[in-house]
Amino acid sequence: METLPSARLSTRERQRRSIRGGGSRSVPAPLLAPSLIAVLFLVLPLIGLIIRAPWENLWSILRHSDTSQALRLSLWTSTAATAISLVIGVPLAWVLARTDFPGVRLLRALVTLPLVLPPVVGGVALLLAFGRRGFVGRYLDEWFGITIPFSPAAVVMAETFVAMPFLIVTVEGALRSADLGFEEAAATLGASKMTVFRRITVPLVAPSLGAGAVLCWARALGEFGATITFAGSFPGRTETMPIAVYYALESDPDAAIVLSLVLLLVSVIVLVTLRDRWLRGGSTQ
Amino acid sequence: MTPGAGGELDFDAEVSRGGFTLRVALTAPPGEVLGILGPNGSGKSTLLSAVAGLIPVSTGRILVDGRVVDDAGTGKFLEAAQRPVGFVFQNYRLFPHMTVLDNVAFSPRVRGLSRRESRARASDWLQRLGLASFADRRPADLSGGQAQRVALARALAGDPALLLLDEPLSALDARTRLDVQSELSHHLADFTGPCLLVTHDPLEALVLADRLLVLEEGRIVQSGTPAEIARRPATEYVARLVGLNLYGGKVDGAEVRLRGGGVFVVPDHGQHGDVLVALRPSSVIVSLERPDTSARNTWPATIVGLTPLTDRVRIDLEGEPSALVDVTPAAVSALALTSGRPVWLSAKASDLEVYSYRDEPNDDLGPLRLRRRGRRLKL
Repeated sequence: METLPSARLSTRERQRRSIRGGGSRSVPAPLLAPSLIAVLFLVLPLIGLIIRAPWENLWSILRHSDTSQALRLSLWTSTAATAISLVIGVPLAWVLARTDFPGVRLLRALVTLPLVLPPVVGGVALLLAFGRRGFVGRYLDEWFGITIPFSPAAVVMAETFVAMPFLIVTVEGALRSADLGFEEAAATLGASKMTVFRRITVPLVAPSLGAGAVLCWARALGEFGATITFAGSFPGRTETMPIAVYYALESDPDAAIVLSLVLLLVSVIVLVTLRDRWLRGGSTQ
Repeated sequence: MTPGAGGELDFDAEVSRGGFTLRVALTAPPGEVLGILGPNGSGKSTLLSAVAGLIPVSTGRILVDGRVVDDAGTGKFLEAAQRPVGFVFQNYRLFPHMTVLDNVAFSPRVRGLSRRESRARASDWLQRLGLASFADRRPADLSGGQAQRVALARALAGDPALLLLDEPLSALDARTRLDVQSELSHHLADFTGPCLLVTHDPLEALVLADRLLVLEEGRIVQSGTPAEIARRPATEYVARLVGLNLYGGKVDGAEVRLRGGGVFVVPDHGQHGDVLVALRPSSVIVSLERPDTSARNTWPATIVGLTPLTDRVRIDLEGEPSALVDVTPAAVSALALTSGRPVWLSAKASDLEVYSYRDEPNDDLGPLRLRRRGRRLKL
C-alpha cells in the first residue's frame, strides 16, 4: 500500500475551512511576489504624499486665497456638471436601455466614447465645436455675444463631457436589469409612461443613480486634460484643483501636496460611499 | 375611467407570442368569477395580459363593458393605463419603495385624485380588507397572505370594471392558502364586475370560480361549472387534476369498447358512438384471485407502481384497461401488494360515468385529443 504524504492542518485553518467550506486558501509562491510588488507600487506613492504633507501649516495653506479659490471652483463646477448629467443623462440612459430603434447601438457607442477617449482630445473637440471659431461657437458669438472657452462655463462643459458617460453607463445597466414587472403593474393601475418613470423606475434604480452620480462627480472633480484645453487655467476663473496642483508643484510644492491630500480624502470618501458596489468582490454589479 | 359598476368582458381573439398562439373566445358577465384552469404554458397568463393591454391581440378583438379596448381589425388599442382593469399579479408586484398605504393609494392618485383623497380611499380599502394596521409597513415586511390582500386592495382601489387574478394563491404556503382562499372568495363575491381567475390548482378553481374554463395549448378544451368539469373531465389533464381514470371508447348499448384495449360493461342508456368513461380510483376493488362478485367488470392487471398519499395508497396498474386504484395502507400489507404482482380488478357498472363529449369548442382539436385518451393516466 502506498503511504500517504504526511501533512498537518492548523486548528485555526481547520475551523476556517469547516465554517466557510472550500479547500486551501494559501497563495502559491509565483503569485505571491508579483502581488506584493503591485501592492507596494499602488500604496507607496500615497504614503509619500502623507509623509511629505506639511501637517503643521495645513490649515493656513488651505485658507490661502489661491488654494481655496481652486477648491471652491472645483466643488461648484463638478457639482454643476453632475446636476447637468443627471438632468440630461438619466433620460438618455432610459432611452438607451428601453427603446429599440435603428442606430441605437451606434448611439450607445458614441455616448460611451468619452469613457475611453483621452480627455485632451475631448478638450480639443470641445474647442473646435464651441470655441470662438468653432462651428457652433461662431454663431453663439456672432448672434448672442456668448463666448464659452476659457470661462467657468467651459469648465463645467469639459467636466460634463468627460464625466456624464459614467452616470449614463451606470444607470443604463441598472435600468436594463430592473424588473419590468413593477412597471407593468403601475401601468395596469393607470399610470402614464411618465408617471411610471417618475414614481416607479427612478426610485427603483435610486441606488445605482446615487452611485452613478457619485462616480460622475468624482470624475468631474479630477478632470484635468479636457478642462485645461478648453477652459485654460485662469486662477479663480478656470483653474480647478487638479490644474492648481499641477502648477503649484513648481511654485509652491506644499500647496500642491495639501491640494492633493484634499483630493485623496475626497476619493476615500467616494470609495466608502460606493463600498457596497465595489468592495464586495466580483459577484455584485 | 368609468367606475366599476362592472360590464361584461367579451374576448374573441388570437394572441401570438413567439411560436405560441392563444386562440380563445369567451364572455364573462358582471359578477361572475371565471376560473381559467390549465397547465403551465397553456396561455393562461397570456390571456390576462391581453385583457389588461400588456400585449396586443394579433387578430380579433376585446370588449369591456361594450367598449372596444383592442381590435386588430380596426387597429384600435387602449393602453393598459387607460383600461378599467385591476390586475393582481402572481407575485403581487407590490412597489417595494412605497408603504402599503401608498401602494394602495397609487391607482387613485395617478388617476387624478388629490394626494389626500387617494390616501383616504386607500385607508378605506385597507380597512375593508382588515389591513389597517399595516398601512405604514413596507411590502418586504408583510407575510405572504398579507401581501396577497394588499395586492387585491391595490387593484380594487383603482375602481376597476374588471378584475384579473393571476395565480393569486400560488405564492402562499399550504397552511395560509386555505385561510386566504376563503377570504378571497368572500371579497370576490363583493366585486360587481366580471373576474378572471387564473390557476393551475383545481381545488382553488373549484372553490373560487363560478364557472371554469380549461385551457390547453392555447385552446379552450372544456368549459362548465366546476362540478360538471370535476365529474366529466374532457381531457386527460383535467382528469388527472381531479384524480379520475378517464378512457375514450365506443359505446354500443351496455358495452364500451375502449380505445386502448379492453371492454367495460356500463348501464345501458341506449347510447352509441364515441364516449368518455370516468372511473374513480376509489371505486375499483383489488383482489388476488379472480373475484366472484356482483361487479360487472372484472379484469386482470399487473401492479407497476405504488404511491403513498396522505390516507391511502394509489396503485398504478397495467392491463386492459390500465387504471389507478386507491386502497388503504392496511390492504396493501394484508394483500402484500408489491410492484410486479398480478392481481384482479373489479368495478361496478354503476360506478362508471359514461358521457359523450361533443361540446368541443375547437373542432380541429377533437380527434387529436380523443386518440390520446385511451392511455393510462399517470400521476
